[in-house]
Amino acid sequence: MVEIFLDNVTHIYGKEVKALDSTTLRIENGSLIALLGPSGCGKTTTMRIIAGLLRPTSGRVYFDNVDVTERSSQERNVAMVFQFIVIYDKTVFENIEFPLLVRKVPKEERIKRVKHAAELMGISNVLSQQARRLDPGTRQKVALARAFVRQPTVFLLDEPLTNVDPQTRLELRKIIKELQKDLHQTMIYVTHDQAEALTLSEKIAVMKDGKMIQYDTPEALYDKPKNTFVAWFIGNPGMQFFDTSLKQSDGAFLLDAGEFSVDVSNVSGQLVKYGNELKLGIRPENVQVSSQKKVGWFNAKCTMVERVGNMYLLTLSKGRLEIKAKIKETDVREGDTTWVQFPSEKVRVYTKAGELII
Amino acid sequence: MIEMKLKTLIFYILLAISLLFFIYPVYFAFNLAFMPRAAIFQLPPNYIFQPTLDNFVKVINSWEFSKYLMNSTIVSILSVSLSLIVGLPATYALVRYDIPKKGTILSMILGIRFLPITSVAIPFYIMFVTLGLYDTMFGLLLTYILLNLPFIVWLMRGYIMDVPTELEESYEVDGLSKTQVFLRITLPLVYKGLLATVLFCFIFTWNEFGIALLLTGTNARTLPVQSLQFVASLGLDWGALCAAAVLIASPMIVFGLLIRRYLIRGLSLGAVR
Amino acid sequence: MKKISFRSKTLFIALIPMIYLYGLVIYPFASVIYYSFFSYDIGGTPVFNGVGNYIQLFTDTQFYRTLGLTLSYSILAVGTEFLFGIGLAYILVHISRGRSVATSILILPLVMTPAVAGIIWRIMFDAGFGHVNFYLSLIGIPGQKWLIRPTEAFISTVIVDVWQWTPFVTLVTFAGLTTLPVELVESAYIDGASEFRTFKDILLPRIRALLYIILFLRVIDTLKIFDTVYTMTGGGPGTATTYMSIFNYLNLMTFYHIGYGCTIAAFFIVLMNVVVTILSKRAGAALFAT
Repeated sequence: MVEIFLDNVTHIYGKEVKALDSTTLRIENGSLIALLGPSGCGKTTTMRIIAGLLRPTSGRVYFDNVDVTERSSQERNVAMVFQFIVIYDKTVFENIEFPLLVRKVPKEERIKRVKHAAELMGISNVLSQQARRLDPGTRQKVALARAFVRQPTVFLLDEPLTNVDPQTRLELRKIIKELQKDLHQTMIYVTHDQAEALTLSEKIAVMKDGKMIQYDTPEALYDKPKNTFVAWFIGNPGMQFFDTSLKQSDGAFLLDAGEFSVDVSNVSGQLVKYGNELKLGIRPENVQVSSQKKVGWFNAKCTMVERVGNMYLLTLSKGRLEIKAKIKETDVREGDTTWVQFPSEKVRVYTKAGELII
Repeated sequence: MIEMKLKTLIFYILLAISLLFFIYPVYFAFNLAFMPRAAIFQLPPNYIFQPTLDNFVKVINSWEFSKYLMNSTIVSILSVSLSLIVGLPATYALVRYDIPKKGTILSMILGIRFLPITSVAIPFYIMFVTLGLYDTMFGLLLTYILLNLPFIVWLMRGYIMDVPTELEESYEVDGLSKTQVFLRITLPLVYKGLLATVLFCFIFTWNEFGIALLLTGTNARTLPVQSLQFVASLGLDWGALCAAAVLIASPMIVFGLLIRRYLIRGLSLGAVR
Repeated sequence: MKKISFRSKTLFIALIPMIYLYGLVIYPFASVIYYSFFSYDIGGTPVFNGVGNYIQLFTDTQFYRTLGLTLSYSILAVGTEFLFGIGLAYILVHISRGRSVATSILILPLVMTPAVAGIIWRIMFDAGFGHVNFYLSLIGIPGQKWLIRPTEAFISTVIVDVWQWTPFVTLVTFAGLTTLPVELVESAYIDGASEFRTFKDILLPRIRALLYIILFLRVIDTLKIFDTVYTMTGGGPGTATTYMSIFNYLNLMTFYHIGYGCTIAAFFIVLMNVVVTILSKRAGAALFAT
């Protein structure tokens, strides 16, 4: 139940491996945030530094404005659940009881809290069984209960649902979300599964190469990704980009991708500052496709139709460019000529280096 | 700056003392082996002295030392080799095939390790005497082949299990017979484990005392048994005794250090990977 | 897993030598049992004695003495080896440098020829000039008549066993511990457990199976101890260190009582079997799992 603040934390493994590069992050009290990013982006390192398993090479860590950088995990009272399901060789009850036992909590209170935690996780019925013999899903529940029973300052979950069967995964997601809401528990969730991050968390910190790129709500990340990496990373598939040049023609400003152009006259003032070469981005699900000719739309040939879940992913090619569109229903078939438009409010423009302008 | 917490310091001290305990007898033996006679009985012990090879000379020259050295070497090498020839195919079969009562067979093989040798040696003794095998290298060989089996089976079992069956099967599909697969594919893949097993069995056979004591006289006697004889004949000549000890145990120390990592696996019969 | 086809000659060739050799084991068993019912001394002829030998055995005070000594030896030695061994493993786990030096030194007692070790220790335990007494005197303990008085001799054999086999306990335990996932320790750390507590309540239970195997092997081996004791004390002084194996050997080779020797042997073999069976339930499962 604390606010966590990472101040300019850098961590270098050994002599060279820079896992974290001057990262600053503030996590509000009682919020559930996700650390998302490709392998090696530094999310696990961040987690371990917050947990107290790792001392950062430089930078400070604050819990509720208290500098805890030098403190041990126990002093910080953090709880951590690992991807590798950690279970002690004891009964379920003894597993959950362990942290309390170590803290010398009196017996009656221990029993009460263990039972409460077990109930929350739905494992009250297996309390007396040897924890190691249970299936992975149940075991992770035990691990969660054990983490929870301590009333920790913050809950750290490092890809906890990866090794769990799909059914329990859904169950656990629900439980985690409820726990967090009911108790205003600060939670940090590390994952490389976007769907999980997007559904569970209030805010997501997208990381890459040790840097925190953007820290925002899922909607903001989706709608206004700060740079091309975030835009591309979020979404399935992510945003697509086209190299364009800013041109003027008949008084109108266009972003010319070679095969087609998009009118950007109304925001030309903002764009001009960034030079001529800009990137145009649009999400496949925002691309408008029609089999009928419409005014202002350009044509493209559909070269592939794939099903993705309950949607269709169309690959449309025009000249040398390929456009992907994701739509719910269509009568377009492979080989057809279609008409495409990029609605201007969904278009995002980025500098050549990848920073968001509009 | 090395920051040593008090606890770590205590650990190191305790460790050092323990290690001294373990190494001392070895150090002691080496020490006395090179010590001239006069210096041996001195207390406090001489740590610095003029080393001499007299003791070694005495031992080597006495009581046909070289003969027993030969015996030990030959018996060890041969018994391990033959045990391999018998044991490896059997182990392979036990790993790859679904043989009825496999568990029982494996347990029985393991059981050989648990036999009290002085007890079992009695009928061996009678049998050998009857067959004229007493005090022969051949008889000794026969027994040692048997004694090495548990190690070979239980150690190689683990290494063979590590070789994926798919690999072998694909070669079989390509036309190799099972024997060929075993010899030309599987074995080369486990050669490291094989080497370690061989060295381990060698150490075990070389060090073996009880059977050799019971089943040999002066002819096929091995070094460990001879060392006992040294005690009788060299008595208070500690220098010579230690020289004998050094001569007998040194090869084992060398081998042991070589297969350090595999030694534990051997001693625990494969329980630790 | 292939099913065996009985046309598979190769399979038979593979197994038969082993089975044949195993016959070499069955025969001794049978012989021992057979001759245990006879009164038979070397040079004489076997005379059927019914259970006479057995009665003799079970009324032999020396037999009970031996049994007691053997059990005490086993309990004392294995107990010490476990405590000492696991303690050392604990230290090894918690230090960062020096592990390879330590493990190298630790294997020395294990590979040393037991018979030779007995001889070396015999010299060291010598009451007059032995180094054991010398070092003891340095820390204020008076020298003991190690190989001369019965109790002291018993203790000295235990010391030698501890010397030789503690490294086994340590190295196997340590090896087992290093295979454990690091998250286990981290989780315990986060839960707030001290180093010691983590070791005792989390790590050791995890390698319970391995520890059983070590226990199993050590108990078996101490019950049938022979080499080191024989070369160091010969079973003496008197019969102070005459353990089962030595008792058996003496009857056979020194007194030439083959019949009686077989009786002892039969009993001993049965005893070992019983012990193995009792202990192997847990240990065996672990061994087969590998």
